[in-house]
Amino acid sequence: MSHISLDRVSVEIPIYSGIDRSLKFSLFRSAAGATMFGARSAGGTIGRDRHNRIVVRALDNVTLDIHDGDRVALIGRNGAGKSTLLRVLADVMEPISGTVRIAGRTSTLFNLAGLMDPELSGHDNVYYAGGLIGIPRVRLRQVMPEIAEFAELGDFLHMPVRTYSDGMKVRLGFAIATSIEPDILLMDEVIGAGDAHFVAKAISRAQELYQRSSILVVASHAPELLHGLCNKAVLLERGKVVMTGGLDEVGRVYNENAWTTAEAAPAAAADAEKAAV
Amino acid sequence: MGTRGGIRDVDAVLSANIEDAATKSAAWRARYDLTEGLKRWSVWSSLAWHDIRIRYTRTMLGPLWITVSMAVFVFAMGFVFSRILNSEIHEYVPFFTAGFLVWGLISGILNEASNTFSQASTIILSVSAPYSMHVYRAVLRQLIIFGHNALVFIGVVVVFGVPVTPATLLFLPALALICVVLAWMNLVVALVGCRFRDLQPIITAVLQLLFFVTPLMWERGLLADKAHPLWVDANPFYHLVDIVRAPLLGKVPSLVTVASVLVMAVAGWYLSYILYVRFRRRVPYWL
Repeated sequence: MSHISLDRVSVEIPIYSGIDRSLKFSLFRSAAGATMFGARSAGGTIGRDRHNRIVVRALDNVTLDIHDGDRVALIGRNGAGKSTLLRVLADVMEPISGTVRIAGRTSTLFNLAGLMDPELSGHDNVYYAGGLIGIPRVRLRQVMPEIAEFAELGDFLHMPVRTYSDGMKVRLGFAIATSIEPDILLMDEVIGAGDAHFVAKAISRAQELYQRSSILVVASHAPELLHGLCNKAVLLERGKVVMTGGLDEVGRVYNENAWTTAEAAPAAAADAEKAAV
Repeated sequence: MGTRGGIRDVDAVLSANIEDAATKSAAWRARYDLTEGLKRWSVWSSLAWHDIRIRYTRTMLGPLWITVSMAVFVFAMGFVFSRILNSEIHEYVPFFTAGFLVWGLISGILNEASNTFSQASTIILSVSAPYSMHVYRAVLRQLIIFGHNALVFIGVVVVFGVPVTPATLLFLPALALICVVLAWMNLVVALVGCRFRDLQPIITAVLQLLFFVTPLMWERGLLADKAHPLWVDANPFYHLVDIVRAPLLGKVPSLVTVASVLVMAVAGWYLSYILYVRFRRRVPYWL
């Protein structure tokens, strides 16, 4: 049985780039203005830790339980802590406080395009990037035809990845990462630059995958992806869990409060751009 | 499950017992990182070869450029400095080549060490895998370069008739030993270097100085104060170089040198381990 349990987990990311002085004014302001949805700026809370360093509090006392069969959408504005939370779940980052308990084999689908080497061909990158995320070579050889078919790259599979468009990289990365079968699958904005045809394909492939994985956690701003994959949702705001529940219910609260406001709309557009990178 | 049968056991390799890892102490995690990293040799060895291939992509000679540039440098310097120092060219060129070969390994590792983790930041921030893999990868990458440079030394052995004795074989264990030392140095520099970005220029400057201070271009015997050249004997890099250089020239390295390198290996790893236990978890925050 797979299970994820977080107990009062916090992550603070120290900022070392000598911006100390210029931040004094805005620190004061954001501390005064930070309410649940009233905050004017996106991102975590900026503050100081006990060593008096400037830190971004990316996750703030997050307590969360995810059980077998849960397919969870992480929603929230840019910088709400979605990616950080996924990194904690993936054991890529250890929180500064709190406990994380995870039962089950985890696979992550973060930034696969970034793991590829631009000089290598798509075919060689299957071995390269696949090997990096820990898929054995034997397994990759076995699924190569399947990956080639899913990615629909044709002859480009044998061209260097630097000649690919962002969407093509996303196709290949997604195909590689979904060629294994974890208990817990974590995905972070995986389909950003894909076209509509690819999004539909990706959803059906991910659906197929989560039938075998027992827990799925997805961070995305694409409503069609979330609705295609998830049954539950966690709403994050400034590193805090604001609400958990059914996807529709949480999605409605989020939309009413942030998504549809004039301020959040450009943020969503910027997010789509970011995902394309 | 159809075609996907048997995958589950394969997956066990990837993310073995994350639950265990998450609840273990920092010391356990540091040890796990170092040993599990070693076990994944197939990953880091292919990454190291990959680094070399990528560096020479679209060149005619490929990695042989390493050999060519080494050959040109060594013969030019050997010719000039044997004149300046008034040494016999048949003795000076093998001495300089052997020393420079080992120095290339040491300086190559230390020069790139502070970027070890930051270069791998995409991997570190997307996949839960031991960070030590990147250190082993960096050491092996420099060893591969060393292998290409060694071809030049073989040429020198043939041309200048360097004696090949039973002691020559000692270079293999000596090389392995200095790699153990260089691995902890790489780990420490990688760790400190990803937090303090000033480390890189400092190391470059120090290595430049060390190249002249360490007996590489000149022999220890040439010094005016022959009796107690403490500033030579207290230089750890002299011993790191000489433990490999002596066998390459057909001689047995001195006992002081062997003892110094052994102490460096054991004490160095002990201290690095303590440092790693303390700071390993901060690495993703520092990237």
